[in-house]
Formats: sequence, C-alpha cells, structure tokens
Amino acid sequence: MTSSSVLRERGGLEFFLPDVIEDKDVSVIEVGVYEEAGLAEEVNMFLGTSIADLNRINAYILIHPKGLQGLESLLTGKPFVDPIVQRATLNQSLALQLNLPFDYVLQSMLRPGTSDAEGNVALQQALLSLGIEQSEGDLGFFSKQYFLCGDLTGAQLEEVSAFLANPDLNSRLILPRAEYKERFRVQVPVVMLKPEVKVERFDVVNMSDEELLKMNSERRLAATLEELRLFSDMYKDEEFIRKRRAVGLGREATDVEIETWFGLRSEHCFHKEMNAHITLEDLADDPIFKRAFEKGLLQRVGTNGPYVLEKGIFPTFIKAPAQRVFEKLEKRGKNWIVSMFEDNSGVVLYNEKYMFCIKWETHNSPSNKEPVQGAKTGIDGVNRDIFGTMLGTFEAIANFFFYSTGNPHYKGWLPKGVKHPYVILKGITQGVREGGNESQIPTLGGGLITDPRFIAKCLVYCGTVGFSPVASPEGISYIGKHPSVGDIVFVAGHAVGVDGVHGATESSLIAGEHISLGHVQADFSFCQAKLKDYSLECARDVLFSDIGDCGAMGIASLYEMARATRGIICDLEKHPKKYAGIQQWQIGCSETQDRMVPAANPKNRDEILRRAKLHEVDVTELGELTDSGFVHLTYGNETVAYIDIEKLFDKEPRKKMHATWSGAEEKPVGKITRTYSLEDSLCLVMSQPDVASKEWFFRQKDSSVKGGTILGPLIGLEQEVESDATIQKPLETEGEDYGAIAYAVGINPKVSDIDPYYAAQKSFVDMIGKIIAVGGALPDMENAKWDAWAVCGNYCQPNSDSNDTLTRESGEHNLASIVREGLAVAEVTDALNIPVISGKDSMKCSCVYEVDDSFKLEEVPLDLRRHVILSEKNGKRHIEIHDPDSYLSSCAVKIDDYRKCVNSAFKVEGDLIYVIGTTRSQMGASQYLSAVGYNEQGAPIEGGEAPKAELEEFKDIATAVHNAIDHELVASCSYIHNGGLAAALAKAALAGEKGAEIRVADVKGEWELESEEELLYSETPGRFVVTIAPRDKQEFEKALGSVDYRLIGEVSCNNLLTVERIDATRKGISLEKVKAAYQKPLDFGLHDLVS
Amino acid sequence: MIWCLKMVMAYVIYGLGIGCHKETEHALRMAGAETRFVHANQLLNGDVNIFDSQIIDIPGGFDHGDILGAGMCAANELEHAVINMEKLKDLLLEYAVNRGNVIWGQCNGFQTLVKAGLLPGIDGDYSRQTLTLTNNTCGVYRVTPALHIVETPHFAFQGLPNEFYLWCRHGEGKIQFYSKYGLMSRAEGEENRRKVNENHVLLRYANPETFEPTEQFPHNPNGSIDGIAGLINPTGTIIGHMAHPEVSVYCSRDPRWFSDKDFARTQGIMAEKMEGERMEDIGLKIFRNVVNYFK
Repeated sequence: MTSSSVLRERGGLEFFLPDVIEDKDVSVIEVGVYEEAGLAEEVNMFLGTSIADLNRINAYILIHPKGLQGLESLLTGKPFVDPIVQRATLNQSLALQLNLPFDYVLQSMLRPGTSDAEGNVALQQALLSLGIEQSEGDLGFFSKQYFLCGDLTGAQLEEVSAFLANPDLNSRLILPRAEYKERFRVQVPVVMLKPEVKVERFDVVNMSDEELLKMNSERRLAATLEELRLFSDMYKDEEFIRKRRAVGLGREATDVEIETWFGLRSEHCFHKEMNAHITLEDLADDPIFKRAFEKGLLQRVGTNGPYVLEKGIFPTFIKAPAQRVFEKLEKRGKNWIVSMFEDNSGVVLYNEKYMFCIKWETHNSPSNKEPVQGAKTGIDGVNRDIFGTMLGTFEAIANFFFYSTGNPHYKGWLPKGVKHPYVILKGITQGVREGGNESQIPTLGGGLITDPRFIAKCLVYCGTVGFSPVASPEGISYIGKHPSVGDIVFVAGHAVGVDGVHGATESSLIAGEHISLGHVQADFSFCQAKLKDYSLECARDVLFSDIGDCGAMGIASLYEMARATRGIICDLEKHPKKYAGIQQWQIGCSETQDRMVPAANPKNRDEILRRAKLHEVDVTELGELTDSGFVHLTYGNETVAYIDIEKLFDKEPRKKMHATWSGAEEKPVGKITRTYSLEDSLCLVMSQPDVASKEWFFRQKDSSVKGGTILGPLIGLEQEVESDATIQKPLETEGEDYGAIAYAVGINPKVSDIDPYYAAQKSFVDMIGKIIAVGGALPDMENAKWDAWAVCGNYCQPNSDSNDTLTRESGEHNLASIVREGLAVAEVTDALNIPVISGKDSMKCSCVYEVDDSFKLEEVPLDLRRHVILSEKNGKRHIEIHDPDSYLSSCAVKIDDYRKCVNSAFKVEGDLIYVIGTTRSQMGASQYLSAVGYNEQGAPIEGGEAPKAELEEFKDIATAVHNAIDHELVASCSYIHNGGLAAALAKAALAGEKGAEIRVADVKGEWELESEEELLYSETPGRFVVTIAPRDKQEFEKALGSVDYRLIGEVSCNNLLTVERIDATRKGISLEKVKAAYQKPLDFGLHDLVS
Repeated sequence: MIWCLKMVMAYVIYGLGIGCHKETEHALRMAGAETRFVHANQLLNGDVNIFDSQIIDIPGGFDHGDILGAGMCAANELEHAVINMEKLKDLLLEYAVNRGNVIWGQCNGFQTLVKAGLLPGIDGDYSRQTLTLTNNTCGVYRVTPALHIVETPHFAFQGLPNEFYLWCRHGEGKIQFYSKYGLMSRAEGEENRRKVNENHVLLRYANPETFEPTEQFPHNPNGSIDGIAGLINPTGTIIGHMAHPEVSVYCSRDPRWFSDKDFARTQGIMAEKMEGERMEDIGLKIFRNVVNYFK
C-alpha cells in the first residue's frame, strides 16, 4: 500500500526516511542560535511552567537526488548564515557542538504535504549558491528545534511543545537530553500516497437510500437525502447517458462528479439558508414584523397565520433594497454602483476614472483549529477575492480584521480540543499580520469583541478594499468579465496538494499521523505576493478575459466562469502537483492556497507565459472554455467528469425552513449592588476588552504602506489611541484631486441577546456614524455627486437549521434572528440610501460536543454556563454552545476633500465640547453593565433596553455634523459607541493629550434621564462628541439647526477629566489612570518594554 | 531660451515580494526623476543596462518573504548574478562607487544592501557582510513614527531640519556588530563598530526630549546599537536606512496633520486653501535632494 518509513543511521545522524530516498541524498544544515528568553517568559506565564532557558536552532533538510556537493562552503555565510549573529553545522548537531545547555529538545516541522515555504526557498537558494540545477526529486524542509532547560513533567513538555507548534499543523518530537545526545534525529515529512490514481465509479441510480446516505457520510458530502436523490436522478436521463457515452463515460457517476457536485452545492458555496423559503411563527406579536408585513417585506399565511419569507433573506432584505437605491441613483445621476453581489466583491465608482471594491470574509473553523494559518489563509483568501474581481485589475489597497474570541485572560473550563483564547488571539494576530504585511497592504482598521461563547468557536473576519482605473490607458474597459468560447484557462500559483480536501486520510511518512487535513492549510505569502504582482500586471495590460480566485473548492471557480460560455474542458492531469498520487477528484476539489485561474484569448498565451517566467509564478494551461453545456474534466485522455453546467448551478429546489420568534429579551436593568466612584467606573469601562486599546494589534500591522494613509488606525505621533475610522488617499489618484476613501466597521453581537434587530441596526448605524465623524457624508439624493458607499455585510450566525441543533427551539430562534437582522439592514438601507453591495454568511457558528458522565455543568464558569445547552443526542450526552448572532457591517466610502476631514483628538485648550444627538436610557448590553460586573449570586447583570437608532433623526444629525465639518467649523469629532459618552470623551482627551471639564447637568438638559450612569454610559447609537474653537460657536450652532445638541464643557490642558456632577459637586478623574486601564488589558507586555 | 535640463533616471526595483515600489516610484517622480519599474529578475538577468540610470532604488517589502532572514535571499541572488561575464555586484560597485551614481535601499532594500556587503563598505571593502540588521529587541514587528537625527552631512538631507520623524515598520531593524553565537569575533565586531560610528552613520534614532541618540525602546524601535538608523558607504553614494520616507511625501500623511491643520485654521488658513508646496512633506524633500544631486 504505502511506503514505510525506516529508521536509518548515517555518521551519527538518524533519519526517519521513506525507503525511496537514499541516505546520501539528504543533508541537514543547522543554523543558530536564537535566544528565546521572551518566549520562555510567555510560556511560563501562560502554562505555569518553569523554563529556565530557551534557545532555538533552525534546521534545513535538503534532499537532492545526487546529494548536494559543496554544502559545507555555505556554513559561514549566505544564504543560510548571518555571520554576525549566527553559526551553522552540516549533518551534525549545532547544539552539541556549542555545548548549549539543555534538558530537552522539542522539535517541530510542518506535517507532511503542507506547503513548506522556508524549506522550499532554502533549497532553491542553496542550489543557486552551489550552481546545481533544480531536478525532479528536490525537496526542502524546515524544522524548528527548541532547546530548553528546566524541570518539567512529561505532561508539561507536551503542553509546551503544543504551545510552540500547533499539533494540528506540525509533527512534533520531544527528546530528553540523553536521548538526543545518543541519537540526533531529523524527521523527513515526505508524503507517500498510493501511487495509482484511479477514478471510482458509483451506480447511483441503483443505490438504495441507505447506500446513498452511507456514501454521503463516508465522503462527508453534507447533503440531504433529497439532494442525493436529485443528483442520482440525473443519471436516469437517457439523453444525458447518450452524451456521456460519447465522451467515454457510462451510467455510473464518477467520484470527481460526486465531489464536484456536492462541494459546489454545499452551504458554504451555495448559501442555501440565506436563500431559503422561510415560515416564521411570531409568538410575541412583534411590532417590527408587523411593520415589515405592512411594508410588504414579509408575506403571511392567511390573515393571522405565520409570516412567510417567500424569496429568502438575501433576495428580500439585502439585494432588493440595494436595487432600490440603484434605481434612485440612476434617476439622480452619477450612479456609482457598478456591481452588486455578482462578482467576487462589490464595486462602486470613485469618480468617472476610477472604481473601488470591498469584500470581507470570515475564516472561523480553520482559525479555531490552527489560528496562525487559519487567519492567514483568511486574509490572503479575501485578497485573492479582490485580485479576482472583474478582469483582475484591482489592486488591494487596504486590509481589515475583526476578531471575536473569548477573553484572552479567561481562566476555567475549556471544551475538549478547544484552544485557549489567548493562544487563538495571538495566533490569529500573527496570521493576519503575516498575510497583510507580506503582501504590503496597509491594515486600516480592525478590532476585537470578546464573549465567553466565542471560546468555543472564535470568529475571524478579514476584509480588503481594492482600487482600479475603469479603463486601460488605451481606453479598454476594465468593467465586467468577458470570457469567450475558445479562451484558454490557466492555473497560476501554487502546485496542488491534498490540502483542504475533506476526508483525505492517506497515510504519510510518520506512522500514526495523517497528512495535513481538512480545512487546515498552510499559506505561502511569498508565493501570493508574486502572484499578486503578476496577475495585476497582466490584467491591467488586458491579457485576461476573466479571472477567478481559488477559494473554497479550488479550481472549481473555473466552472462558475464557464457559466458565461456554457461549458469548459479541463485536463486535471496538467495541474502541477506537490507530490505524486493525488486522486483526480482531489485535484478538482483541493483548496491549496495561493492560486488564481485566469482565462485568456489564445493570442495572449505567449505573453502570459513569458511574464510568468519573469515573476517566477507557475502558470499552466488547463483547458478551454466551450459552449458544450458541460463541465468536461479529463485526466489525460480519459474523461473523469461530465456535468450539466446549468444543473450544477441551479438554485432549485430551494431549502424550506422554519423559524420561531418568542420576543425580545428586554427587561429592567438588574440591580447593581456595588457602588463605584466615577473614576473607578470609567476605568472599569475602559478596561473592558471591547473598549480597551488595540494598540498591540495595530503596532504589528503596517498601516502607512502604500503612502496614502491620512488617518491611520492609531492617532497621532504617540499612536496610543485608536481611531474609529481611517482615511486613505489612493496612490493612483494622487495629484488629480483631494478625494479619499474612508473606512469603518460596526458590530454589536451582545445586543443580539436582547434583540438581533437592534444589534444589526446598531452595527450598520455605528459604521455610518464613524464615517460621518471623520468628515464623510450620507449619499445626497438631490444632487448628483461622486459620493459612493461600498458596504459589506457579514453574517456569522449560530446554527439555524433546527433539524441539526440539539434542541429544535434554539435552531428556530436562530433562524428568526437572521430574519430580524435582515429586516434591520433593509430598513437602514431604505432610510439612508446606503446599499449593502457585498457580503458573506457563515451559518454554522455553533459547537456541539459529546460529554461523558464526568462533565458537570457547575464547573463551567457562570457567564459561559448560562449559554450552554446540555441535552441528549443519539442517546449520548451532548453540550451545545451557540455564538451570539454577529452582523458585521463594514464600508469604504468616497470622501470629497480629505483636507477638511477631522480626527477625534481634542485639539486646543478652551475648545467647546458638544454632544450631538439624544441620549436615551439604553443600558442593555452596554460596556458599563459588563464592567460593573456581577450580583451577589455571581450572575452577570443583565437587562436594560436595547440601544435603538431613530433613523430619521440620525439622518438629520449626520447631515448637520457633516456640514459643520465641511465648513471647517469642527476641531475634533468622535462617534459615541462602546462605553458611551464617557469613553468617547476619555479617548478624545487621551488622543489629544488634553483634559476636559464636563458638566453632567448640561448633558442631561431636559431629558428625562435620571442617573449619571445613563448619561455617561448609555450606548444610544447616532450620537457624536464634537469640539470647536469658541469663536466658531455661533456659526457652528447655526449649522446644527434643529438637531438635539448640548454644550457640555471645555477642553482643558491638565491631565484630568473634571466632572461637575448633577449635584454640583466636582470630581477630577485622573486621565493617567484611565490611560493605564485602557492600555493594560490587551497590551500583552508591550508597555512593560518602555524603560 | 533653451532649457538644458538633465533628466535623472531612477530604476525602482520590484517583484519577488518587494512591495513598496509604487509609492517609492511616486516619490521619485514627484521629486523630478524619470522612473522605470525594473523587476528584480530583470536586474539579476541583465535585461536592463543599469548605466542608463543614475539612481537604483531598492524599496521596502518582504523580498522572498523574509525567509532565511530579511534581505538574505536577495543578497544571495545579487551575489550570484553574472551579466555578460561580469558579476552584478562588481557592476553595482562600478555604478555607485566609481561613477558616483546612487544605490538607495529603504527598509528591506537596506537589509539587502547590508547582507550583500554593499553597506557600509568599511575601508572600501565590499567583499563581505560586516554588520547585520537582525530581530528587533522588543521581539515583535513594530510600526511607529520614529525621530531621526542626521549624523553626517549628506546631500540627501541637505537643507532639512536636523531632526525629523519618519515612519518605521519592520521586524528586523536592529544593527548589530557581533553576538554571543555569531561567527564574528567580539574584537573584530568592536573594531567595525568604531569605524562605522566614525565614518558610516547617516541617521540615528533619537529621544524626542533630549534629541540625543538612543538605544532605548520605544524611541529606538528596534534596539539598534548606538541608535544607528541609516548608513552610507565611504563615497556616500550607497545609502540605506530602515525608515520609509516614501510615505512622507505629503504632510497630510504625517500623524500630526490633523493638529497642524487645526492650528493653521486658528491662524486663518483654511484647509481648503492648502495646496502645492504647503502640502509637501519631509520625504519629498529627501527624494528631491537625491534627484537634484544629479542636476
């Protein structure tokens, strides 16, 4: 079956080597020593170990069929050794040579078959230095070896090893000193698959239901019986069979066809739930549903029957409202919507010459498993969405991230196999940093929301904005995609492996371990960087007629491209492969990263291949577009799949689902038993992870690259306070105008515990408010302007399929929640004329675990326990945890003149401070309630009204604030969100290194709010803090007109937030303390470095 | 009247992971140079004649993904490149040292020049690497504006204030001369350090309160020895530094822009009227100095 690995020895070296490789062909270069004192400290802190000393040595394992003569000449310099800080050995232990102190060695290396960037590049550079030609059997691998001193138990060593190298991605070895000294070992992770590649055939027509379901579960097709039958019935059609016979196939379905069909029609690719027919039972007689019914957004069975959403959530609540804005803009003139929901990203016009596009993705499951690579493939994947938009002419100009995780300081029970939030957060930050930075795309926004439920399943959102001229210098349009029959299709980028192929468990070299599996793939950012330059250059020179990215289902995006011409023929054998033995269906479905699939007129073939060589990108011709009506896949001369392309993408039959709404969770605020001083409560609010400074995240991510960043994610020279929005001048427009693009994000999963409607509404409105605060404007429906809003909506929803959830109620509730979110989005779009033009749904943000009798619910910390569902499933105890409904709203907005924009930092002593917009008693899901903690029973304080936006009121306020900024009357402006007015004031003061005098009584005005807490911490959306120079008072107030505003204080020059309370007493809050509270929770030691 | 202006041609290297080429090209163009993007492989293969240019700019980025150490692969490829029987490295030395053209590396470009031995060229010896740019002391990639002071009078910084902020964004920016485990001996390293400090330091990181060079985080973002932030060779025509002046071409990109603009407004200058020279920033002046060096 498979080749075995054998332990062999050579010159004191011991190798686990597959028997096909000869000993003499393997060389190992060890380079070091990297002192890892900081890492040791981190491990000790996190795992409670007592590592006294930690050093790392890197090993490069190079395999060449003729061995590598002369390698010893590379031990003193390039490419392996930086002689100033390193030294190296060849085929012997550097640690032993140096007498490095250690008790244990922890070795790690990527699992067999994972793209090994370091190993590959090392091999290429060694060959270059030695003047040896590359050859077929070349292989390069990279291994990290940690040498640690300390008294650790076996279990601790395992924990440390897993902390240093995630077992889901790495093969690991732990060796005590004596063993290492005796036998210095290196693993060689060569993939050994069965050499024969063979198509399996299934007589689906004659398979019983049981047999179909068995195939479904064995191949992890995730299909229902109805869907399986729909597939098998196709093979009854005699006309179809006749056509199949003509290409050498029969009545049996091939594995390539089965995998392609069900992969492409999966929830992930097909968005069945967002398009499902929904009946909704409203048990609460809810006014929002009623209103929606009256507006015609919902239908009803009979007069009092359940509501019906005939066309589904996406068509009704997202697409149709966007279409309504499109039509209004058509009438108005300068319609900036170019493409909504039909391409990889949504596209709008910047002006008549340029366009920009936006897309946000989520990469949740992979990031839970392997945070670094999961998040990296997330950001690199969404970047490829941009590279694959229209003809491929978009340059990615900005990256964004948003994380939802458990609190990194969480202590307590973890579900089995789940990584600690600290490990997740550090890992995903590293992944996004590497992906974005190495592609040299500035990170211009992001954030973190924590909740105990995200411990079970974290969410990782990655976003990208792209920019392109609308036409080439010669005037050839870049808009649209223009594939034609006869166009060649290519695959560009990485060779394919079985990465990302589900269920692939072929044995590999190291016994008991499997090839890098499932959705965990490693990313090769360097490969992607080259691919990016290459594809952009070809696209801008109009060499491509179409281009797709390889995300989910890999090269299958070609078949989507082929819908335009109605057919494609591809030879899977031609696809470059990482190793031999990959089955045909695996080539077709692999999600190996860093690939794009362009199509081009044959006349451009030579130029496309010539440039590929220059850019060192592998580009291979796979086949061509046809009008045959079929996806025709071959392997050499043998046909391996023949699928009707119309049927493959036919959305019918649509899923039918049932939802139940039992009412919003609005109740009075629970009793707060402790009283806090103003200073303490503000410090507590500022130290909530959702509010606390994200400086640590942004300090690692390039924000000024591309030279266009006007307002970055951190404010001022000190870069200590976050900005709620960012502004970028696209390089290509430099010198042509003073236009720019502003970016912001809104998300409020906690509000959805009260009512998902208001959660989504607040997310959308918060995002808009943040743009207005820096100088943006709502679309002007009276005057034709280039005032584009490119909005992307990402739904991360707990499982809403009640057939699948542990309890029927939770699934039905979750589905009703999505309907409510959708309604909110539709109503904001209709009210403010801001369309959502792109988006993504991730519908299974829930976790189910089987638990044995030893599991005790009481052991789960209370704030997680209240979300845990414990129930029986198939006769076994299970727990289920649903993430909160998360609607993330993100945007890229055209700014008319960036010179007039403002930031949130207080500017000059004596400037007047205003709050604009009405503060309402809406403490529900506020940071204040999370901050002041728990009642006597240890239960978190709940209750409070949901924060609600009054859309018409907000429209006036947003217009007034914009006008004031546009007339240059504003010194600073902040949008009030997490932490309410108090947090906004504190952040503005810290950003400007100023203080403030605030009169709470003036905040109160005539409002009926009684408590200072509500005035200071309520998170009513749609409000702003604005400061102005005193001389502009009259003009400013005139500009505000009739909107609700209050003058509440002045900017001061001391380091105090002085508050005059309602009872006229004065209280000074130390901003130094507030700053420490704001910085500390998420700085991971950053500020300790300052001596 | 006939203007006899000499056009200055700048080659901007890109590809293989270099990512800052577009803004660098923009800065050079705004500074008055004619520019041409040259793919790293075009340079290595001799597809361009470097002597048709006056400036070769190796911008920032992640050449080869920083694998094997930042700049290591690029330096290795550069050392092994042979064009018409001549080593590319020798041609580059002829270009910059003998003929007085400029080779300029920002960030990753600087790392490449150092690892290729083109900087600092102690006593005119370019044959090997004499110091390194290695992992930041703080242990993480660091993005920050950093205060720089000019150490040696140099045409690139002529007419500029003596101290100014520039953006730094890097993980391997610490200048080091020797270390516990390196092959370089302490004695030789110290000797190099002395010579470099005497003749090769162009820029240093400084403390904004004292304006003194500093090794202390955060004002020195990477822990660079003696606060060294940028180097030149003996002829001053090979220039390298970690900072990114190419993103400081316009003052609206300065982190202080919003407060400066607010101050200007109190002086009666409306943002709407800010144009042309008023919008220029320190980075453009540096690029202009380098371009004008040839005029």
